[in-house]
Amino acid sequence: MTSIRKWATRMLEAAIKQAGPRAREWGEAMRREMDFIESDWDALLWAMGSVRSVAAASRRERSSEMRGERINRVSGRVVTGLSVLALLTVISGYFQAPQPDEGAAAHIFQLSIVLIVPTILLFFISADWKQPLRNLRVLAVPGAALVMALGALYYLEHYR
Amino acid sequence: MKLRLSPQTILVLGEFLQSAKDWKYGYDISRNTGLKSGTLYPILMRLTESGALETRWEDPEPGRPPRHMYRLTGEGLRYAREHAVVSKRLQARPAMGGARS
Repeated sequence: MTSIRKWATRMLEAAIKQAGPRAREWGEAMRREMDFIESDWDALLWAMGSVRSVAAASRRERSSEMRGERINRVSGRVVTGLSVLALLTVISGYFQAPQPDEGAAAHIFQLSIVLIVPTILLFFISADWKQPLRNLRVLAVPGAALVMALGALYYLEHYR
Repeated sequence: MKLRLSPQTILVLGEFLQSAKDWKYGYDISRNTGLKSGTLYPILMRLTESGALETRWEDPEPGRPPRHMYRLTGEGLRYAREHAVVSKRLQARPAMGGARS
């Protein structure tokens, strides 16, 4: 192997090493094709173009991962916020005299419960399932708040 | 299927249409289309992500690392045929300001 080809190979392999998993597979594909290029200069040009392609694919991969993480983080917070809101509205019912019609708190409770459903779905869709415990930890607080809210609501409606 | 159809993408689709059922290697596509790796592979990636191409690694043989191969999917074949026709029509259309009888 000539020094030009060695240098070209090293350059491409270094780019592949830095790439994300999907971009790495494409990089390996380009690296393998280099073995079929006869001219060393053509191999160098091939490696340079491949480095550019691998870097672009890796950037795209990372930005899409980051977008997914952000959606997951925000939806996790929204679920927590909505479930705590639902709990607070039920608790507020304990400090009010019984009313003939549903009050504002009841509407806020219903709305927060309705909004929790698509937000939880969004959370599950954007979750990284390689870390199931992390996802469960995020959902622990809203889960507990919801159980408490529904329990408190049941008690409020049946025993008070 | 939604794809950005650059002239280079049409060239790659045309190359696949030459023998639609066959698996092709990246370097062969590059040689036949004249596209460099920096142009060709992003197109192959996009076509694969959109479902127009399927990819696989060659069956491994001792002492010979496998190569990555590409082929049109059924949907990709339909799409390529449709757009190859459109591209041929565009090429056949006379340039603006051309002679009129």
